[in-house]
Amino acid sequence: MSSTAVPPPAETATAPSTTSTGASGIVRRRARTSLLAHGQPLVWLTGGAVVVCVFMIAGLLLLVLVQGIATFWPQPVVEVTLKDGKTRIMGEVVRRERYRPSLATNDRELAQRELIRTGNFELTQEHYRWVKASEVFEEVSPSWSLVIERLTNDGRFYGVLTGFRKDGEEITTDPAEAWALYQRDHAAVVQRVEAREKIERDASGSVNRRERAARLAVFQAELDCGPDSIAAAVARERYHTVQAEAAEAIQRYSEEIASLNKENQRDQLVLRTAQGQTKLLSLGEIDRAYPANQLTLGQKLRIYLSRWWEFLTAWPRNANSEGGVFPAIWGTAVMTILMSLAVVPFGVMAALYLREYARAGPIVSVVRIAINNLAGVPSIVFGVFGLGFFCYIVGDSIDNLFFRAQKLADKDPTYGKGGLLWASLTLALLTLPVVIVATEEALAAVPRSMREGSYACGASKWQTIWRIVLPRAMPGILTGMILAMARGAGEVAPLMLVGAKKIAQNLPVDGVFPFLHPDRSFMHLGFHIYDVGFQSPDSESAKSMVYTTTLLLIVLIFALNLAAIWLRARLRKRHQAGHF
Amino acid sequence: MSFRSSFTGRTRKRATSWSTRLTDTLAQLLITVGGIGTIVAVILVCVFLIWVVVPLFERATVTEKPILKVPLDGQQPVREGMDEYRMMGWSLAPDGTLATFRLDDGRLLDHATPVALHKGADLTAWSAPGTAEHIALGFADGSVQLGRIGFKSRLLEDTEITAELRDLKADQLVEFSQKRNEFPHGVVQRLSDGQYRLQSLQLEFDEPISSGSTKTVRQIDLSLQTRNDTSRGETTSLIACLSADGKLRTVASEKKFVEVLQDFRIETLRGELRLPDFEDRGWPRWLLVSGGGSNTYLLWEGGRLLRVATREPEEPRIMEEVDLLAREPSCRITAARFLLGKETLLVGDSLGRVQAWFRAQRSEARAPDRQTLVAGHTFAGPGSAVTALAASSASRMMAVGFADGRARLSFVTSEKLIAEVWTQQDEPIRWLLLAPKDDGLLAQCGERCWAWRIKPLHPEITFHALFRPVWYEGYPRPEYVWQSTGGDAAEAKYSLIPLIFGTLKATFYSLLLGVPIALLAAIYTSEFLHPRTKAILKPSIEMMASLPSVVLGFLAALVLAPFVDRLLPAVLAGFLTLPGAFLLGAYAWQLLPEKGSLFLQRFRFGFLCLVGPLGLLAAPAVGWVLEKLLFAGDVRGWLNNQDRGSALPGWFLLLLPVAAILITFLAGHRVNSRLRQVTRDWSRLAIALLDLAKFGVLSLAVCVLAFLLAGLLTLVGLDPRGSFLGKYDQRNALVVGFMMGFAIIPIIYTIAEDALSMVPEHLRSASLGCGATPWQTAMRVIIPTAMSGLFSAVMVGLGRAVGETMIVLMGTGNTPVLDWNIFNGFRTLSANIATELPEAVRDSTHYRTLFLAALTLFAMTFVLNTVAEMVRLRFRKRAFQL
Repeated sequence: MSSTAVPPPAETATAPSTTSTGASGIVRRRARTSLLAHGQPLVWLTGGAVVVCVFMIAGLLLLVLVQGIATFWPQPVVEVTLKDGKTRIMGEVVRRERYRPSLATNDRELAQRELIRTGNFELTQEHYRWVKASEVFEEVSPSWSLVIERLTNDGRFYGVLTGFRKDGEEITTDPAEAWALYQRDHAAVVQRVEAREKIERDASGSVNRRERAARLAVFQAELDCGPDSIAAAVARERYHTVQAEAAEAIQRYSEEIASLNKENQRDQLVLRTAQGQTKLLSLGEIDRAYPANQLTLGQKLRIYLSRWWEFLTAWPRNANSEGGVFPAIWGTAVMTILMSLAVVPFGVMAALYLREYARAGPIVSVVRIAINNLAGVPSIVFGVFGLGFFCYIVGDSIDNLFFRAQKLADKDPTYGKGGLLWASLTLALLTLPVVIVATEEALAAVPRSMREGSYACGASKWQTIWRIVLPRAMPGILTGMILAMARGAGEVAPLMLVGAKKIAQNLPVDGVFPFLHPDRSFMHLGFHIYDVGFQSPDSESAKSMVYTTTLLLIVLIFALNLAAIWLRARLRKRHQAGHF
Repeated sequence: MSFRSSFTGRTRKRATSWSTRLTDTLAQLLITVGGIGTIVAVILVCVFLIWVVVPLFERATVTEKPILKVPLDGQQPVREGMDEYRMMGWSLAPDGTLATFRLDDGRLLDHATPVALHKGADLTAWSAPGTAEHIALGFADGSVQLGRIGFKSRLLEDTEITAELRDLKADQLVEFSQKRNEFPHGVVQRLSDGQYRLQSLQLEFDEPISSGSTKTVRQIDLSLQTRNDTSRGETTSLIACLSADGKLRTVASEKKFVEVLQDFRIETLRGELRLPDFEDRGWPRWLLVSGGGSNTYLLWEGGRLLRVATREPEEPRIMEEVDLLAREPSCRITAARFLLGKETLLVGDSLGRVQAWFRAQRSEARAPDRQTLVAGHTFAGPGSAVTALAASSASRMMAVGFADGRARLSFVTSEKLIAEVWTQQDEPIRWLLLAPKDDGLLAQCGERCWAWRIKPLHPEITFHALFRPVWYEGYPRPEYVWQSTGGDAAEAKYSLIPLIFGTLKATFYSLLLGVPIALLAAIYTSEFLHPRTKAILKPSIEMMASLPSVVLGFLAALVLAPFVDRLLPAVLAGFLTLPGAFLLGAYAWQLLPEKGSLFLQRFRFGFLCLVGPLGLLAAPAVGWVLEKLLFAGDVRGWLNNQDRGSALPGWFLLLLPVAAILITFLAGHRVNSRLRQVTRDWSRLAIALLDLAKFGVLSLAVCVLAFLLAGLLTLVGLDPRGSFLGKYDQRNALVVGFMMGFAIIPIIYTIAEDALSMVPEHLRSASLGCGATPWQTAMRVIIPTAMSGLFSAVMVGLGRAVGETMIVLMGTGNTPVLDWNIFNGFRTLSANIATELPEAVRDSTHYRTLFLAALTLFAMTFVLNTVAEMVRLRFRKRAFQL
């Protein structure tokens, strides 16, 4: 499509030209193009449009990049005393801005204010606070103020370290010593926390699964042989034993967890908040703590990187506004891969049929126009189709045929609701036109001479396609696939209808048989952005989280696009060399 | 298998091997089936949407059940009822006896006078149906009694199931006797899953209370509300009754649970009102209390209606008097009752018409509460008089019985005639009853009962209800409303027009911003940009097309909306200063000597990039000045307050671009060629200065023209606030338009640039060779040739804007309003689907209407894209011919 036609560089255009004027006399003179004919102002206006485009794009990317990258950088902690003398606020300054103090007055005097992340939600019932510059009496940076990220759902804590307690007894009141003790013990505590999580997730999970399987067996037996049959009675008997075992195991696990928790609560940090309250934080609650005003650059970098690592590998906490987005990354990846597995074979088949097998005629061109049109059909329409057809009709039939016991047991459909499989198929349908069009273009670009050569050598049609046409069209097909993946990964509207969830308890692919769970709903990066950025109660801290997620998503999609562009360039080069 | 000898005499096997043939055939089969299947699957999307939508417009089905012989000993019952599973019914006779009967064969179950009924005096009045199962009774000694006649339903325990019950087939009914019950005979039905459901009558009567006088109660009605927040049974009720002395008496009682006493306490308020000219007019035929007890209607057969406000029960006040049959003096009212919610009054007359009256806030209303009764809907009759009216207790459906023995089912709001049924008997229908779940109709005609089973499907939807204004209850006039959550108090309103309007509004504003930028940028890129810059720039802009729209939505909602909110004047000024900066830059450029200009030409894009920020930097200052000059320093206040300041500045700003385009067009045609003639021998600098002066003059002319036009419009009395401008919301069409620009600019840009580049090179060369400047070539040769390509680019952009979901979902307040105001929100079809479909019950009216919205969206984009594709193909053909 892109033409090689190069518009003449504008500078050649001012070259003088000769014109003859006048009808009667033969007055020849050197004529010049008038300055007015260049329409310079209007050219500048069109150029301005390009500049606006460039600025818009650059501004958007820069905003996301800067905000996304800066989010995890540890900020110093300030303690602000207001002029009333009583109010003290400690926290990180999120941003400063100028604002108009009152809307009623028409003066243009702008006042300065800053937004301070104060944390300590359980004490103050707020996460953030605006402080006007005019109210501030003094601003200091206490050297032993700690920033503490907690594993509980209370958000961050800011306080000055004043001591360390073991088993309720104050060992030290010297902050430096307390900090050293914290650093010594925290690693062990973290291990215990991980051990606890492992028990909670894996061990209890498997017990629960066994119990559920036994329960399902009861329903299945009742369905198959009737509620009074021997099979049902046996299943019930078995369920009771499993239930008893499970109860016992759960009891054991909860004791283990309780002992771990108890061990973790032995060590406590003593902290003083800005308002002078004393707060004890046990080490088991602490995910990460650092004395923000004493950090060297190296330490800051370490915290920064560890935050990124946590972001990429951990599960979300505190209604998705803290922790990581690992399930969302995983869900996006699995969904996109499943989608490409569905879309590529069918898309290539349709393109092969249209280009190689169907007799060219009005019908084929109509079909082609229709497919081109489908690329422009809004994604939400596909979502509606996916919900109505895949979930409610196909899924419901599958449930009625194979999962009746589950339906009775859970009072909840298995496949008759949004899930990974239906989301992938919906997006496959959505991206089908992309693959068909790209493949067709690639097939059309294979020179006719090569096909003819192949036939002349005695190859059959399929042999020609398989050995000559497809290999040469491969980069084009791959381009189509990557473009489809990029589109699918960024699409959110249909997923809202067919299976993306705010928080999914389980991963769609995990270590539990049968490993791939196509019926599960999943988390998705794009939906995560919508949910956290738009529906979160604490929008300010969600915002920073959303910027990083956005950055991740944009990087992912642009990487896919760049791969497609690179492949396309390679394809073109090969074709230019490939004519014979 | 053919063997041929070759020249060498050796024979060689030339046949294709069977495996190759087989593979070939298989591959062909697979690809054909797979390919066609895939294409069919894609087409299936559209077919499926239609398949879901079609039942919305299907007609209701009615099946007749055998005629019942209900032995109701000839008395016209005063109230009747049936249970929600259509197993049994009851009827109350004027003498106070209550009969219960089975609905499958009409056999009588019990026939007795309730024990708790007031025995001291004759029953003289009873409340009209309307308040669920509650009933108010009036007696000859002036006392009134509140009661409830309902049903109790439960599943039988295993121990209660007798042998007789075990033989029952599914859905069959049998009588079941219970001890310790006033009405001992219930009905048991065997359900399809093997369980047994027992249905029996349940009665409750309060102690009789005084109406405030000992005179006979002639008419009575009640309105009763149960508090939803407690399950203790706290109620507030209003009983209105007309005593034999011609006084309207009200008894309001509030039943409250008192924590300290652990018991109910009843507070009672009483009031009375003497009816004016009661002696002349006679007794009203109906007394009806509206929902919540706020109004009491007295209705005479001749059509006179008196509305009495009873919100303050101690002092009822007459509000207005209306003649419901103003144009038909010979006509009489023959039936009247409330619709669900007790706000709409259904009135049937002797001509067979049914009118639906409700109160609406109107400016011309003379009543002290500024309300008046309006006839929202009128149903023409078949010619014979209305004899019975029934209303559904689940929806706004009504059933009308006529004197010739037929009955009609209609949906009041949509005025859809659902079904018409006949009793096969030329006698008037005496009473009608709609089943609680709207799935059955019972009618008595003569001595017999008819029962029908009905499936109303989706009576609230008609083409008219979807696309035309509908007069909803309580609205002053027919309107377009989308309000999908409805209940008893407010029905669901499904007009697609606000959503379609929202979609068009979003599209309009985003195209207004996106199209000029995208097209101008495409022209510059293809005609004036250096190829090397273009090689970088074009793919980057193209890549922006794949930017996920959720990212744009997030930025619109959380970054752009607060930004615009804070710097509104500056943002508005930016629309002037940015183009202004580029134009001024160009005029400054022209002042350069020819040599320098030629040398610097190759860096023109760099200069453009420098000038842009200057324009942006100037915006806040210009914004401030404009705000001070035009809006007295407060543009927000001007927008939010229609009475503040004149309409002139708003019109001025709106008309500025229009005037600019007009003046440029005129100047381009008239002035420029003249100027070129005149300045033929001038020096370059002089021409440049003249051009600059021209720019100044024209800018002034633009301002003057805009000002004059604005003044004209203001003089006429038009105000842009209320149409294109208006109250400011933080998330508004401007923000969405701007962000949607991001989504559509790359698409329009790419297609337009391709179209411009595809114009054959020889046209360009020829034009330049004839001495045309690149600008002249672009304007007069390239753009006209590529016009259809540019058009199709805009169409494709339009298609994308129509269907965009996430940006509008996050960037607007999603309120379905109908105005063009750029500073408030809207709700589009797509955002509406995204928010409401997950909650919609499968196969409900709401669900199917949302599918219709999706189908509308599909159709809109399909048409746009097809047009674009056709135009593009034609353009391609032409470009190749040239």
